Amino acid sequence: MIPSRKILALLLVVTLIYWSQKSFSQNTENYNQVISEIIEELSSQTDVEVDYSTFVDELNELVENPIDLNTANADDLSRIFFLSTFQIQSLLSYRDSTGNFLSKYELLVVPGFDISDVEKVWPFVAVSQAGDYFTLRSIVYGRSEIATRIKSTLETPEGYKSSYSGTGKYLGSKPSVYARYSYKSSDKFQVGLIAEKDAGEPFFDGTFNTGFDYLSGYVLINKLGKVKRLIVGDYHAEFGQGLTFWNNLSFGKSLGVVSGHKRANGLVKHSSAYESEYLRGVGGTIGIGKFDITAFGSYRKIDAAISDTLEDGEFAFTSLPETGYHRSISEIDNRNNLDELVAGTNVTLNSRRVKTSVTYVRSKVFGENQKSLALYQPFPQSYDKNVVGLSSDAYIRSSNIFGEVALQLNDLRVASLVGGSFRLSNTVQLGIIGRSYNRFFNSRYTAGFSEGSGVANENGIYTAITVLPAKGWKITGYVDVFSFPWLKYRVNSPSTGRELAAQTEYTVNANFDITVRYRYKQTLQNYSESVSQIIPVIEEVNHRLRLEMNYAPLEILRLKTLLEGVKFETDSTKREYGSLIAQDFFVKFRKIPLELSARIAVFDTYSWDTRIYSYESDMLYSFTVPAYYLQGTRVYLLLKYSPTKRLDCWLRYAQTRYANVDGIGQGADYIQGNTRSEIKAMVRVRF
Amino acid sequence: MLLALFLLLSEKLWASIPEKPIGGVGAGMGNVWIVPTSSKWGGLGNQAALAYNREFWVGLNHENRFLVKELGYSTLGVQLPVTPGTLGFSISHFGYSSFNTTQVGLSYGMKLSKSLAAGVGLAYHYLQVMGDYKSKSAYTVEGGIIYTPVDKLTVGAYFFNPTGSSFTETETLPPLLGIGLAYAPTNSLSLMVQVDDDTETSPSLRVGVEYFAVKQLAVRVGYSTGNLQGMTFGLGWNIKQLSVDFSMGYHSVLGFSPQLSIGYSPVLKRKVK
Repeated sequence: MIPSRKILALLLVVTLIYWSQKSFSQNTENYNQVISEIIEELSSQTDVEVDYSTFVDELNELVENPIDLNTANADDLSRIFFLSTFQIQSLLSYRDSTGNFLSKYELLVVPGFDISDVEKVWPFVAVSQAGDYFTLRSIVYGRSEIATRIKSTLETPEGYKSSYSGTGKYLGSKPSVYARYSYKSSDKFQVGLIAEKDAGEPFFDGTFNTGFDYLSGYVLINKLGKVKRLIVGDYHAEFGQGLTFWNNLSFGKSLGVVSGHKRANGLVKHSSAYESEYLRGVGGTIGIGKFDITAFGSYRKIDAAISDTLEDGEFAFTSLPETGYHRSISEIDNRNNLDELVAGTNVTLNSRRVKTSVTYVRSKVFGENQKSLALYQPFPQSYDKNVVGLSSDAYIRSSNIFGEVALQLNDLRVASLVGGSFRLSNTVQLGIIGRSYNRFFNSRYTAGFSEGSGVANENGIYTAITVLPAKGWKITGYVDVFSFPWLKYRVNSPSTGRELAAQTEYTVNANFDITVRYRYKQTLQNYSESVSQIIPVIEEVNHRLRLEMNYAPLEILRLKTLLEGVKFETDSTKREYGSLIAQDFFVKFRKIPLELSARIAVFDTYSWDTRIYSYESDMLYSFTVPAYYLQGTRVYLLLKYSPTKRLDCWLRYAQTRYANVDGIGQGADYIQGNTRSEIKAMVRVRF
Repeated sequence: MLLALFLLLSEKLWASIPEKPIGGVGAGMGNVWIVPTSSKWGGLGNQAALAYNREFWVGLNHENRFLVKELGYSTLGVQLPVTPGTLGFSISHFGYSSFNTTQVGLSYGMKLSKSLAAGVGLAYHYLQVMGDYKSKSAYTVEGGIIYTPVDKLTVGAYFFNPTGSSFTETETLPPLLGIGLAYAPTNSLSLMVQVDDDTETSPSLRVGVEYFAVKQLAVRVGYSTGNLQGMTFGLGWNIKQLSVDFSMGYHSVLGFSPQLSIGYSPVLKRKVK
């Protein structure tokens, strides 16, 4: 029997559907656009270019095996990583009080979901009554995907020329090659393989055993009886708030109240071409009652610059490069020199509203650290670490409270974090995160909320607010005040700083929205132009103002206009400005299966200090967030052609043209002339 | 402590000598004072806020800046409703035996229409520095308006010392102008934004949030980019006629500044309309 509340809700939903029919029917057909919009939102909040392939993969998987709103628990729903904990809990309480979902449209009446949230979630959820199944048939009738990508710059950097006599001459050819294969049968059984050759790396000439410099793969089993997850091969592990162990991608400070809160997914497959920070071995999670018990082990070769062989046969190293480039003799010499062991376990107690977990991880690099010590390092860092951590995540009366304490057993140093997000009214959310990391904490794989790099040498309070003052309006902002109690890289004294940001988004209608964002950051840095022996520390202030407009004048055409200005000042009377103007075009043809994106941009910044990062559209599994600096123009053109449902082809051309320069880059990367152009093509087949 | 005193006497932080008792409520929200908060302390900040208090009220406030004993600031405030507005009286003392200021203020605020209130104040400032320096004094004028265009929104404006009175040429009481905005989406929540600028320091932006977790208990958080820069936190407890507000400001270099305010409105038989 259907309760009367439910009928009322459905009536409301039907009206809403009628009103919003157009946008939903479009999205169900074209989930790719939804995914790229989500990824764009993620990467436009940060200033670094990272490989989001894992997220794209995860979302693509969800499209093929959507989460059932009627059977999902909080863990399942948190796979949709852009949902807030509040939204997940709200959805679960809605289901508890009104019974099973009858239609996806019912999401529109769940508190905390507005139309744009539902549009975003739409491809990733389903409403069905079907039970859980896992048969031999589902393994045999899985889906495979093969993608191959080739990329090259058109100009030839000096390092490739036979006449080049400087250091770091490239032994390989200019194009980079990337190939991936994946096989999935429901979300239960997955296999993946990735091979990559970076630009300049030798390729099938005997230098590397496998031909490719980088080869990675995994076999993954999900939810098989008591085994919640089993991974053999390359994977990541993430627990708690990232203070004890987290070697996957994570998001730092960004606008939005929930941004600082992490939802750990335990063991996750490694399906990107990022050649560092992954584990290689076996890991598994078993569910026993309310407990999830995870154990994992990894033993793999890592790159190291070896300086000496010690008496006991152990190597001494002076650095552990993580770029993954093996293009020149010295880079190839460093390749796979040392062994690294990482092993750990995690026990999580799950209840409906509280999740508590204990993690222990041992990590060891088999070599002696002979890195030269910088001023901020009073003693050599140990590469043999035992870390234990306790974390908790609780949801009480529309508030989410979380925290983690991590302890390095070798030297009893502590890092801790406490935070909360609070729904103060239907329109206002507030988040606070306080952190205190010992100055020499420095565990090897961490990703705790921080301003500096890594979980070490930092205290701070971060406060964020989101206000929905009226229909179509969204205001977000944060304040972060922090201090570094010890010296750090390029700061020869203990220092303090602060960062403020505010953003207003106004959605005028379905075809037009406008966003204005301002960021202010003040930190202390060494005075780089100092001529004295004792380098003074000076204040650096960065202002960034950004305007973005999205509009869709025609059904097949979408436009985006971007204006950004930067002002950089220091105590030493230095004052620099920078600006970027960019116009993006997205065309989706109706009669032919062709999509086109393009950008024309003009940038004018005084130097690297006033650089501007800007997200660019790219093909699947590629992510481009270049730094625009100096003066010049940049254009790109991306074509996607999908002749059949199983075949997609991409072609991308990008060119940066600098004004007033004779050459670009340094050393082996130096290009004569004032242009740098790149061409890239990819083919993907699914069967 | 010596460092703090040195900084205080150095030019840049001279303006940090409190000109104004903000009270534990505003101090918890990034030191806002132009738009009235849920408490009666607003009347000491922007005189127009006096118009909203129709009860006899007496309040005591003590601030200890950066936890330095010599930087204590105490205030006694009294508000007396008359017809048609409300009268305010305050006396404050800052500093220690070798360096101190005393302020005595008289103010009046009233409603001009249903949505508009205005107020003015007159203050006498007395500065005493030990040694060869002479004591000095000055008079200042201040005032403001508060306007409520719609239910959830309040706008305020405030000026201080437009005539530019000062103790001496170097020891000034810089003129200040500011505007504030309060947005209250529900009865239990207020968001505050304030921008103010005096002629000697760069403009300050202040933002604050006040949330009544339960009816009697308020939690506050705020941030100010200038005087006093840093995060602030506050707690407020209202029980019948008594209000107790505690706040803590944090400056990343100079440290913590706690503030405690107690306000009381005795129940009087004759209510003034």
